[in-house]
Parts: sequence; C-alpha cells; structure tokens
Amino acid sequence: MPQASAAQRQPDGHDAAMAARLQAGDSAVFPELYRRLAPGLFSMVYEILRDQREAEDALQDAFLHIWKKAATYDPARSSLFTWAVMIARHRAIDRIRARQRYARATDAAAAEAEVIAPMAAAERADAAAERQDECIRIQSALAQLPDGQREALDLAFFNGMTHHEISARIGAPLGTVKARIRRGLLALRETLTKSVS
Amino acid sequence: MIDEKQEEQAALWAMDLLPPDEAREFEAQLAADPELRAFADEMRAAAAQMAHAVTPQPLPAGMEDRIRAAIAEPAAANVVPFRRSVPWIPWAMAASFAVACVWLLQDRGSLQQRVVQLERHSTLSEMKIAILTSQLDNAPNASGAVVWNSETQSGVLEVSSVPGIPAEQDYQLWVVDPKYPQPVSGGVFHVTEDGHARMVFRPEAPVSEVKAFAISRERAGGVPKAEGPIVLSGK
Repeated sequence: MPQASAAQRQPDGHDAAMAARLQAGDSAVFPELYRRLAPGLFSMVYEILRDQREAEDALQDAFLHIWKKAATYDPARSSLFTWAVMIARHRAIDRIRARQRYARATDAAAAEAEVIAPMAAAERADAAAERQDECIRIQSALAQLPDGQREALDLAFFNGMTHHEISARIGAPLGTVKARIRRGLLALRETLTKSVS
Repeated sequence: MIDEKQEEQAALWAMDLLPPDEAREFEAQLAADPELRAFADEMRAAAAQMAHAVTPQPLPAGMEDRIRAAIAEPAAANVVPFRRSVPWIPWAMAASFAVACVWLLQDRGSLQQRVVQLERHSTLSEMKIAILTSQLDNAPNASGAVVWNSETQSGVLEVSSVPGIPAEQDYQLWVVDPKYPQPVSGGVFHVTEDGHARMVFRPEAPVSEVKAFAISRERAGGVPKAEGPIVLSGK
C-alpha cells in the first residue's frame, strides 16, 4: 500500500514550520516550497488549461498568492498542499473564464473547456515515483465511484463548471448534481482515509 | 450532528462551488461549529487530492527562477497578464490593456477592503473586456477597447484613430445596463491629434450588468441622454 505522500494529506508539524517561515518572509524556504508544491500544482493547472504558457502563468500567479497571503494559511485546518491546490485551481479556472469572456467580446467562438477524463493514463515515465504512486492511488479511488459522481466531480474540479452549468451539461436536475457531488466527495474522503490507514 | 443539507453545503464549499454570499454565510457557520468545520475541512482535503489524478507534467525549465524573481519584484509588477493577442487592435492599445488590468487590480483605494473577497473569488472574474468598432463611414479604422471592473465600478477606455472634433463638442462614453431605460454616462473625452485617447471612468450610476458600451459625439461637457451620432460601439 502506497505510503502517505510527503505529508500532503493531513496538516502536520512540517507544514506548520514551513508556514511559520513563509509568514516571516523567510526567502530561504522558497526552494523547499517550490520542490514540494510545484510539480503537483503545475500538472493540475496544465490539465485544466491545456496550454503550456497559460499553465506557467497560472503557476506563477498561484505562487505569488501563496507567498503574499501566507498569513491566511492555517495549518490546523488543512495541509499546505490542500491550501495551495485550491489557490492554484482558482487561478486556472479564472483564466478559463476570462478566456471565454474574451472570446465572447471578440465575437469569436467561445472556447469550451475540455472534459478531462480522470482515468487518463500517465504518459510520462519521468514523474517522481512518489507522485506516480499518488496518481495511481487517487485514480483508483476515483475509479471506484459511480460514473455520475465521478463525472460531476471532474466537471466541477477540472473544468471549473458550477453545479448549474453541470446540470445543464449533463441534463440532470440541480438537486441530483448536488447530491452526486456530495456523495462522490464523501466516498472519496472515505476511500482515501482507508488507504492512508 | 451534521445533517445532509450541511454535508451538501460542505461538499459544495470544498469544491468552491458556493456563490460568494453563500460561501460567506457557510464560513460563518464553520466559525461557530467546530464539528462542521472539521468535516468541511476533510471534504476540502479530499477534493484537493483530485489534483493528483492527472498526468504528471515536467516543470518548465527556469520556472523556479522566474517565480522567485516575480516574488522579489515590487507589488505593482506582480500581475501576470493573460496572454491574448488582439491582432486588429494596435499593439500600443494591447499593451495599454495590460496596464489597465494592472491599474484595476491594484486599485489601492479599495484593495484592503477587498482582501477577504479576493481570497474567496478572484478579482479577475469581475472584469469585462469589450472591443468597440467604428460606426463611422469616414473612419472605418477607428477602434476602442474597454476594461471594466464591476466590483470597483470603474473602467479604462482607450480609443485610437478616432477623428478629431471641434472644441464645442465632446465624445461621450455610454454604458448600456438593461436595468436603466437610458444608457449611463461614463464621462466625456477628447482625442489627441493622432486620434488617441485614454480615460479612466466611473459611470454616473451603479451598473449591475453591462450589455454594451458606446461612444457618441455630443456638445461640450456632455449630455444627460445620448443625442448625437454613435461613433464606436461594442460589447
């Protein structure tokens, strides 16, 4: 069973120590912060944006926010990775929405975000072994979800769709979409908790 | 005891799906309910794990140095503009766009008040960009662009190749909001000898929804209701 990945799931003393250095503006912590967060964050924003340059910009934007808003991170509530993921995802989703607004403003066809399949096979063998293990673990957990729940989580997380937009996209009532997100996330939480223990 | 409704709210919050007002309301509940807060945090942690379910990508060469340099820069330069070229707008105007975005994002008069809001939803999601095209037969190359921030109720207009007009007239910007029977004035301006103008504007009335922008030619000082010919318009 894969080991917990670099204390990325639960907040721990290491996160608290790093946060303290961040909040103190200790620039010497940056290399470690980058090594720890950048690989996962970049892969995620790239998956969302599907554009190398925009993904680079989103990653830079995210790190700027992480650095400047370090005081808002509470190690008692989440791991550093969780906090950073939500920041980076937000930046990527904003770019998708701005891209769509720009396309409407110029009367160009609005670019639709691709629907990302969660079970896309890893194509690069150069990922660190730990990241690969984590990828397999999460993909396995998602594969155990019913299709409707997995689809709802995918559309929300990777495509930045609201539950209203998901409802319109898949033709399901809003209540159904909310229920799928709730049940899917509950199941994911339970599966991941079991795999760690 | 957490009920199903709270579970649902927690799941939506964890996935950043709650609208800003509902998110604030839910976070107020979290502050008062440790059990709910712990549950919501676990849901968010589970959501964040989805970041791992992607094909690992190699980090771009030099990315670490680039980010380190950006962190070290003064705050005004720490805005990463969107990479969108506008081939039929002059380069100078496209560059001004980036400046306008920086200006709007660094509106220090309201920045402190918006810190919590910025953490919940990006400022960029409140911005609208409109391209204005010529309505003049004798100046087909006239063009304009507006960057509008609905949160700060302010914007930047830039025009180019617009014909000069007599001193007793002004160009006037209009903001079309369907809740008003008439467009809302965004102020008046003159162009330079080469037909260029740039104006920071605040509409005369609160704007909820921008359907379009228009520029008309009016008497000097502007008018309460558009009377003159439309020069540029767009949405």
